[in-house]
Amino acid sequence: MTPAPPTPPPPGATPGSGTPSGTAPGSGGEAGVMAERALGCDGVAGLSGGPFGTVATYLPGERLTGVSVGEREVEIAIVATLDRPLPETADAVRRAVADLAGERRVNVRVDDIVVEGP
Amino acid sequence: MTATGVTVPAQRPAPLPAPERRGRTEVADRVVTKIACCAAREVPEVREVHQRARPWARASDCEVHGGRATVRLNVSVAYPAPLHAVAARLREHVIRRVAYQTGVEVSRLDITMTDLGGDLP
Amino acid sequence: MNRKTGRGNRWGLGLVGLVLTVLGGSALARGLGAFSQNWAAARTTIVDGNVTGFFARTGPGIWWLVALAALIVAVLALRWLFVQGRRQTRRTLRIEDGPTGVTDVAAGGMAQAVAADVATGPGVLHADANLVGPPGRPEVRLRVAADESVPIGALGRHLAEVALPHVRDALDRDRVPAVARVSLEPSPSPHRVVR
Repeated sequence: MTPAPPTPPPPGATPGSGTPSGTAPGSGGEAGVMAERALGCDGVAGLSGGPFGTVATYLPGERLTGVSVGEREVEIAIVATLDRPLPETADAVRRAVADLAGERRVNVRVDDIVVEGP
Repeated sequence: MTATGVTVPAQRPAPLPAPERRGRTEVADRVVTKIACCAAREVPEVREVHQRARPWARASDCEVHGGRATVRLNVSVAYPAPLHAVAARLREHVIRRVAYQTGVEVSRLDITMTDLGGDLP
Repeated sequence: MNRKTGRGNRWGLGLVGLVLTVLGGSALARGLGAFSQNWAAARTTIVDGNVTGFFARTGPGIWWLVALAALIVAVLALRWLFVQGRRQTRRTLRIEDGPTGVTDVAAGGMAQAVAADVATGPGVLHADANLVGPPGRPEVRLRVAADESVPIGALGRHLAEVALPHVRDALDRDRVPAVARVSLEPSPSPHRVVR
């Protein structure tokens, strides 16, 4: 988990992120990094495509499920564990990608959970 | 089970960026249903929670709208247990667990005791 | 079959009986020459020239009316057939209805539990239960097959002191009327397995 600095740096300054405006190649790399960071958060078991697989980023030759980066909003759909309350998990994801998201809102959707046992 | 989401009010704003940049947290119906079923299983008199539909019974399900949820649970209860008391305990426990785990307020919890039997724990 | 169905059946059967009695009586009276011999003479066919002439004069429209009447009778008969399936047994028992939700108990599930409870009584060979009655005032109907060699008083005590208090506790009611129909049967032979 990457702690969010109080004032996020401009998105372009972060390694791995491309141009800040969310053009195709830049947002693709950005989405990939966001996905990795979200997966690294406590309480996140995986990323989810959302209902009907709508939350996804299309990269040349591949499809990144679970993160959709737009001009004004970033959507991240996760599969969570029950280790901690879901709002906390969502906040952790938001903090983890805050520097990449910059001015954009980060909407986190808990799409499913993993329950231990049967 | 559609994944209509819900806006969860901000709970720990301190280390986060300004609230207007935070974005929504949505919790899918399926998630609330699973957590409610898990919570219901923790009530001692509840012997089974029917999460999936069966030919003779509807599935337990849930609808989340704007931070509030309506939950429907189908359960098997031990007999003879005082059913009113079991229902009250079940309602209280599920509402508290769902609120804690998801931040969603369960405004209505309908319980159907589909079958009774088996000894008290 | 519930009380309402029973009342409907009495009315329906009475009406059908009345119609058939009137028709049969008229035919008999006609055959015995009780009607005016100018209008309906005995020893003539019922469908005579007058009748066929009537249908011929009114044209094809009359057959549509006949078909419609037959259809209405058929629908009424089918409805009558289906209400025979109406049961007094309740499907769910609403034990709680509040702003935070309702609590329903499946009457069948409850009845099974009551029956299983009764079946643990002394000398009970088989027990069956039903929950009946209007909402808010459930009643229990029991059918018990008991071993005739076991004193019936022991069974009565089991019902009054164990099974029915359990029902009252479960439903949280001071009174739950119950009717038990007990049939005595010879002891099962030792090799027969009876639950």
